[in-house]
Amino acid sequence: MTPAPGGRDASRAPIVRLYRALFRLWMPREIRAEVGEPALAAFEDLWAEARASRGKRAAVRLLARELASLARTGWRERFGGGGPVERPSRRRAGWITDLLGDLRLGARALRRRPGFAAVALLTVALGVGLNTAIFSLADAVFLRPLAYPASERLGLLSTERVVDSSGFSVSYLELRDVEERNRVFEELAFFLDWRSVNLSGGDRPERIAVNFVTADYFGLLGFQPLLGSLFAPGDDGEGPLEPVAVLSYGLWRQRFGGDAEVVGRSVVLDGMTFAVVGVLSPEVSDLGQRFGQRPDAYLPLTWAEPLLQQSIRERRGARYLTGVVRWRAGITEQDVRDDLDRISTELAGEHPESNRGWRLVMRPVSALMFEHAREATLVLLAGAGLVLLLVCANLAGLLLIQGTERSGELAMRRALGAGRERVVRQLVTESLLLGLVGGALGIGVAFLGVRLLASTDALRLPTFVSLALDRRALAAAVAISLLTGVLVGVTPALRAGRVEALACLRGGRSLVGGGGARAAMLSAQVALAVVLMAGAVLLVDSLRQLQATELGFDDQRLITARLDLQGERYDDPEALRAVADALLERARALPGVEDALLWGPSRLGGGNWVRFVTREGRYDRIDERIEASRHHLLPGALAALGVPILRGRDLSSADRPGAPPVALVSEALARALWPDRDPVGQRLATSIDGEVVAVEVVGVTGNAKHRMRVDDFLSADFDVYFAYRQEPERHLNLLLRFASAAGADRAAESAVVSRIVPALRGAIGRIDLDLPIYQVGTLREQLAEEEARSRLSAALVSSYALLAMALASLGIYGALALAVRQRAREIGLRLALGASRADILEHVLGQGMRVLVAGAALGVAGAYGVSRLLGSTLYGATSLDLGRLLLVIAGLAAMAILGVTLPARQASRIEPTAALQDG
Amino acid sequence: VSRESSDQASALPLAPHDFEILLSLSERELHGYELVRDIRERSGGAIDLGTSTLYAALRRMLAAGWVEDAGERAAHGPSGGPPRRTYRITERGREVVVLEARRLQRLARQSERILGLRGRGPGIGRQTPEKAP
Repeated sequence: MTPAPGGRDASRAPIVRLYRALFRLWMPREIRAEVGEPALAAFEDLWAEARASRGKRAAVRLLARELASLARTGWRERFGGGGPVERPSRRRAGWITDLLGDLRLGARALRRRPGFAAVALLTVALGVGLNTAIFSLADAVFLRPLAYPASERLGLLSTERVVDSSGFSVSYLELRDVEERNRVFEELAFFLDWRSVNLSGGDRPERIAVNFVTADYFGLLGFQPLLGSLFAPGDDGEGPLEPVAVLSYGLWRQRFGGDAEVVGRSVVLDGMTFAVVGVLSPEVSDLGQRFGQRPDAYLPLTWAEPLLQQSIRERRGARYLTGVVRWRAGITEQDVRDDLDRISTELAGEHPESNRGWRLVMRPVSALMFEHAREATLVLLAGAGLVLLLVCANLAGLLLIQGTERSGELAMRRALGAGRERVVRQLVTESLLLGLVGGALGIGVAFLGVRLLASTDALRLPTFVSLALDRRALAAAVAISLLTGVLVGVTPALRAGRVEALACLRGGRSLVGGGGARAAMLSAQVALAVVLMAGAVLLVDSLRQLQATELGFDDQRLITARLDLQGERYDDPEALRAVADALLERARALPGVEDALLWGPSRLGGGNWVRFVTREGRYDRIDERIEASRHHLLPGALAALGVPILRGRDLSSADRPGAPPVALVSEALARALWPDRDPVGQRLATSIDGEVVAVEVVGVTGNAKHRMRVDDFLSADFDVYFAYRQEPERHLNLLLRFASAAGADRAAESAVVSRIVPALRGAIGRIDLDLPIYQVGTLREQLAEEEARSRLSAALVSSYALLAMALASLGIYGALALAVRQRAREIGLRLALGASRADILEHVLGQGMRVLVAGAALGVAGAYGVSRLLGSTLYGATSLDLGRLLLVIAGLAAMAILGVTLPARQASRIEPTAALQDG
Repeated sequence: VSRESSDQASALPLAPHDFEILLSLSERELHGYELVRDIRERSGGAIDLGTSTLYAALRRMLAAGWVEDAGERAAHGPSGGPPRRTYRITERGREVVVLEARRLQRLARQSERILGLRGRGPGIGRQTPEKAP
């Protein structure tokens, strides 16, 4: 990545983006069209200046001034009061003046009750903010169509092992068969995606990602060139036979500085020269393993074999490719499935050695792209909607109390001649104001929420999905705010319109006014809060367990880097062995480095390369094969990483090429292969380059989490460690353990890393100038990244839980306080007749606690259900035990104190004389 | 005074912001950020135009033909980025700003005479005699 130029930096600042969004939303179209861009540029300049040279306070002042200017100008341009020329008409001014008057009154009413205003605004802000943030997520996931032509008929073709439905890529020969035999597809292209190659030349060598594609690929997905052309179909329909390349927009900008003359120049990839024929337009987003991520370059599929030195087109079992298909209009997905089943059956009959036990599968792109996000988004959306309803219900309750408090004021207005309609209108305007001001604050909340959602990869959104508060989201925020305002305001306003009736409301009903329905709703809120709190407790607990998981090796003070030994110079296995020794020697000699080891190809904390293994002599039994991560190591690497050898021996220098092949297996794998025998000395069978080989097991290691702690792919710790000297590997991880004196905290660690990494690059450059290292970082960083997903779930559910708790206490408070006010006379009478204040306190507390206890009982039952449900999907063994329930009950106690005691105290402080006179 | 100028005269008095903008553009072509800075500096920090106010005014003056688009210029503003659109005052605009300046000058002379400000420091005006109720 090249550093972004200053301008892009500034335009990405959150404030600038927020201003941009507000400007687009509020300014009339003509202004935006005529002077919008320069105005925004000027704002960016002013903001950058204020930030850079005039300090924080100047920046805040600037922002305040700019927002005021925006609000005023937008208003004037829309509703009149222009400048010297072309004054817009004032015809709408009449009702606007009225509205402004009501708004002023409303603002004054809110200012008079700052406590109420703060609570109400905060509640609305949370409700609107949450809904807006979730709306922009839902908008991205559901509402916007995919960027491909006829994307509803687009699918990816791959294969599946029948025995366990595990998914695999598809082989070239299988795809050719599908192409010839199918009756359902109108277009079919193949690709081999996300291979990385070394791009040499330039300042320093780089590792880039390439996709190998057939010529129809671009046309099928509707990709357009920005410069030059895309691949033209060759004679065999597979694309050009010459070595040509199409560059991505990103690589073109970054590596060639956006040079318009790039077509015709050449790039050197893994030592081979390719002529650049075109540059893709920046909008395209790719399919394949990593949806939406863009590879850096595209090469014709013809060139995959020579470049990757992998036989792709000869063996049916070489399943490396993916097919992308568009089925014909009028055909259903079921037709496609039937047709593929037919072809699978035919192939299994014709080629039993490679196709028996396999079937072809097609998955629609639309379903695939948002696989992970769709469900989560639905849940979030439902949650947000529920929260909004609770916000409205509870605020309406609060406004009702306000209505009783203001009954004097309103009665006065009626008496002075304001019609009922006018009073209602004013009250609705007030609640609309509440909604809109709260909504404006809510946009701030949404802004933070969207940043939280966008910063995580937990939802695994395709990268072209840009989560941002755009105009649609802001429009949604305004709509939600208005809706909130109306929902909240209408009932209290209509009630207040009948002020006479309200003023003499009599008691005699349950203290929680509105009877059973209202009490049930409050109990349900409490229950919901309890369930959410229990969920939050479980998620936080799961996160803690994840963090505490033993990795099975020493993860402290490790820098990891990847390197791939590509190109002709490493074709000779001897060269691979020699370079490994040289790398280790140089790395160990770096200052500050305690030890170094090479580990290939499966990556610690990340990627996974697998091989099927089984007991010797049973490799043809497909259902007995076990998928295991493979590692190729030099002697001593296990000890250096801190993986214990439980039985047998480590690899040794005697395990040379020519000597019998040996391997170590992890304890879990040993147990799966030989549950009742000593694994040391047994032989396992595996396939290397299509040939079944028997390998002697010389040792058993402890289990280790080499991939990820949360692993969707391989749940068991199945690892097999081969001897690098016997089978050298091109894909390597170089691990450096830095000296412990360097300090334990994060800052010291990153200082060490920033000293060691350049030295490492230099050292490797002295071995091979064109050899890049990439994905350089500490293991600790990788682990933190992995935790991000659990962290997000925990954060989301916790905030929902806190919100639900706050809303429930607000609801209870509102209901009880209203009841206390309405029954002030009755309470006063009781006091006058000799009831003690303690009696009254107890009475009100009892009413409130009844609601709480009913809700809590319901909630605890629900919480157990949720813990069952969550327990199976969460990391670690997590259940709701007594200790955790106590936490939840502590939360309940907080709600009780907030929601019940305040009104109870108010009730107990009623002065009988005053209350009786008031009536 | 030509007929055209008298047309322009009907636009007087100018809104203070419009006057400031035209005044700044009378010196040289500027883009938005430069305009805000120029006005700020000339007023000693007393006038700080908001971007929206500025551009709404510019748009009106573009429509009235007082100001015209002077093309794009490479940015050397603090945020870098793409070229900035600059603006230039037109002949009509110049007439308006001159007319307004004359008007203000006249006003200033009158107030000097009435308030007796000439030759004195700020704030030491001659006491005006109080009128009887």
